[in-house]
Amino acid sequence: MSKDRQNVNNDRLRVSLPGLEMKNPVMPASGCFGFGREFAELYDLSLLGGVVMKAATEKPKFGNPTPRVAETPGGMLNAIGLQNPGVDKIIEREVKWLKGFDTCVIANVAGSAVDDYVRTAEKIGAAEGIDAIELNISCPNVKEGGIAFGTDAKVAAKLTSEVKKVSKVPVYVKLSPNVTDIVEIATAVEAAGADGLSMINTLMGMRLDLKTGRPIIANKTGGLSGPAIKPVAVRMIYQVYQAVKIPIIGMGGISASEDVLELMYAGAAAVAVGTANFTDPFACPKIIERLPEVMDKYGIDKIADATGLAHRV
Amino acid sequence: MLDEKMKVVDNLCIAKDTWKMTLVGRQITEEMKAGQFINLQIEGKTLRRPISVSSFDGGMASVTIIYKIVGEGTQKMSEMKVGEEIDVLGPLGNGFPIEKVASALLIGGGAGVAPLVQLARDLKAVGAQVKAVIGFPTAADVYGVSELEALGADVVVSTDDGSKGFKGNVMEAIKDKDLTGDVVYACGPVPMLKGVEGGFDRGYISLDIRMACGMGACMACVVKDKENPEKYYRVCKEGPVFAIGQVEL
Repeated sequence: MSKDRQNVNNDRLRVSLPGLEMKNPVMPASGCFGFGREFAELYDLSLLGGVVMKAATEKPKFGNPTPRVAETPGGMLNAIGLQNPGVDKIIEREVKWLKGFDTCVIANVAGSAVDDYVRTAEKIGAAEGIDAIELNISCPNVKEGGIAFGTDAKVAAKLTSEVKKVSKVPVYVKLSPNVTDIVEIATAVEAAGADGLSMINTLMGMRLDLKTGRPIIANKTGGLSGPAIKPVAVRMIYQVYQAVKIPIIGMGGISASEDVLELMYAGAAAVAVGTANFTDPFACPKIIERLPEVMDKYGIDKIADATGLAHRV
Repeated sequence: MLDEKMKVVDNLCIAKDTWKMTLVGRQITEEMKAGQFINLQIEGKTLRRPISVSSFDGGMASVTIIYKIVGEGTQKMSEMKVGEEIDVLGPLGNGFPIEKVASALLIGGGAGVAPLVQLARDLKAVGAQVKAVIGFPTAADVYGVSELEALGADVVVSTDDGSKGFKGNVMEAIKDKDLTGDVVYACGPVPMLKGVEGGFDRGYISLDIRMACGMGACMACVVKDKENPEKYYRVCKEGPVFAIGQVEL
């Protein structure tokens, strides 16, 4: 991985978003990287533009029954159910540990009602080492909260403004693709004070076991992720970019450096890599390493120039 | 945990839909223990395939796995030719604690027989007398007998239809033949493991569960502690081996 090191200080890769001065635009997506401890056994997390932590809720959460995952063509379904040790333990153990790396740290915040979202965001936003909050209003796998906040523009806006009132760091609202008009939600949370958007979360799906006739996932439905959803992400980022002024962190099916460029062309200012971390735990550093080569191929001098390029040609 | 490109040196069908593959790498066997698993990247597949280590040879840096064709991924594995390379992450999981006992009873069901091979070898190495009871649906599914016997284990085979060995499941065979050991080690389907927990107090069970990352990050493969509902374990990290009575089956 010696070549990665050269990219750490490659000015061509720098991107700047509210609260996030990133050495490159690539970070692992929330839920696909835990708190980074397992991946840190394989490579230096300081290579990453940032780390988006696994969702934090006010109280510890066990999540859904198993099986929680199923493979699909070009991707997978998951219904983990936001399992996490709770915001206090996350601050005490994980944030403190992640602070030791030279990378941005984003806290993903989830909840079941406005009150606990707000309390969790206030707490973790004040923790030393947290650069931004990703407000998770789009988890399709929990009975209360989650996606319920992300499918109604008024509800999403209300939550955003309440969280903005207490958060000491910029707030990126993570949008759900499971809506009729994502632009309506995006513009509503922008008007409510969101500093940025993060999109897209997983698409709700289901798989059945032909032997038993039952859903493979115990929760019945799960969130579809992986390369199969990339065109949906590109389309939605493209549409939202035209309608908002705040920056977008793009995610959905990125598995190669070319995909980073594609989501950025559509309008993303930075990107997150999710499911690809399971296929190849070195996905993030490999994508970062090859990025300059792919930029050369397509005539991109600075990666920041790629943001929204599709709208200027 | 290492990520290595390993070379296929052997890949053959040993029973119905059951294949044995031997891979050679560089350092992956250095810290390897019986009961651990490796996670294989299959071309065109999003998720890796976690497969338990059947046996390994540290000196040769070789790992043997025994896998059943259950879907497209394992079908693709069975089509791999000698000389092909495969990306392997491992060793993963905790593995079986090797107890210094006079006698050990190994209980395996179906695909769960595979990891008992290295376990038998390691138990023999510490001087234990090893008995193995291995169960399958029918005679065509049976494998592992010669491997276990070659290590000096006494092997009892059971089949559900009685087409080979004892007719019945492994727990019935154990009862019938009055088999016991100072410690038991079991790997197989959950109903079998429940039977083992009902019949023995001292020993270990190894779980098989759907995983995504296989390295502790994604929380797909969790099981709850039997006593404390707040406590949970990641099968891929704190498992796949647990003490009898430790987890909610």
